[in-house]
Amino acid sequence: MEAAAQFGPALDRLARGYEADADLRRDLRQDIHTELWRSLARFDGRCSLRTWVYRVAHNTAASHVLKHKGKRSLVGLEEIDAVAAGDNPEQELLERDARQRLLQMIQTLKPADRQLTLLYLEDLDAAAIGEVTGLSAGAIAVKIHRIKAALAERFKEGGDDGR
Amino acid sequence: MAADDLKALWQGLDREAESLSLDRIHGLVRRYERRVRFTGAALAVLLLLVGLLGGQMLVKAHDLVMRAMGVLFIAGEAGVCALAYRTVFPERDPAEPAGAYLRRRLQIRLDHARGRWLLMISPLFPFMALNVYVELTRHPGFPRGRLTTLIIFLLAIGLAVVRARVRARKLRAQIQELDQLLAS
Repeated sequence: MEAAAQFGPALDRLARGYEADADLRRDLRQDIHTELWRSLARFDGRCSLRTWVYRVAHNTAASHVLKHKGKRSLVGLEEIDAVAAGDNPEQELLERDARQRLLQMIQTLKPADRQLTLLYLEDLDAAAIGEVTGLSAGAIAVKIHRIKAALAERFKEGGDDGR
Repeated sequence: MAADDLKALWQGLDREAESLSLDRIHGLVRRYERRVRFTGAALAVLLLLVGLLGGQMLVKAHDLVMRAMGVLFIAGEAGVCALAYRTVFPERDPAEPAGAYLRRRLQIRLDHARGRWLLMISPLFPFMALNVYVELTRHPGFPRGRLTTLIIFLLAIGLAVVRARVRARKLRAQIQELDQLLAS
């Protein structure tokens, strides 16, 4: 339970990054907590508790995305701007606040890019991201660079909150 | 907006209204365990029914071929049930690194798009083959009335194959991208 209490807010954010639909997100949160509870009996200290929790949560969320992807087309970091920007940026800026835009951008990403972006936004460093994902240090460095570029591009339109 | 501001923005997201209490989590775990037990029990009941059906075939069999069909049917269904249980509840490491886990899940989907799901019903192939042999030897000639059904069936298979190939191409691209990230 300590893990759920300590990482609860981060797991909430993770679920929001993976699922836009409120009902499906509730299911995802329940699945993550169920998996976490079941898995902790097998926690063997081969990695830190944080790494273990993030691995279980991202694995459960990846399964959820693959199961419920439906007709949503997911894109890589390189294509995110064309999808998230919309036809009328000014109107869009009026209607949506920066958090919603950030969420929308994340929810459109392919699972691999989404994992990295979420871990980056949770302020994990490259070594910690590598532990959670198993990706090489070089690949993570390149991807983080692209994440920063994509975020900068999306949120460069002046103002503190991106407006 | 600076990267640190975006991290702060993200970490400042409001929490969902509904919080999960310890009791609720315990309830969810119990429900999951019940589902596992129920699935096991349902498969056992299915096996029993299939056994009865196969047994009936054996009792009513008037020759060696029909008896063989009964045995192959029972054995085939038992194999399908065992494969189904392993597919629904696979042995796995819950804390597998997320990149490797995602790659494995994509590979499973790719294998299914390529027709790997046929493996699930493969234990029934001997029974099916014998069944076709019996039909062909005891009812020679192709009935003309079934031609339309056959054409529709073949068109549906063709469409399913095309869709599966498109899906497989997208999955292959994702796997290749992940492989580069895992290896570089």
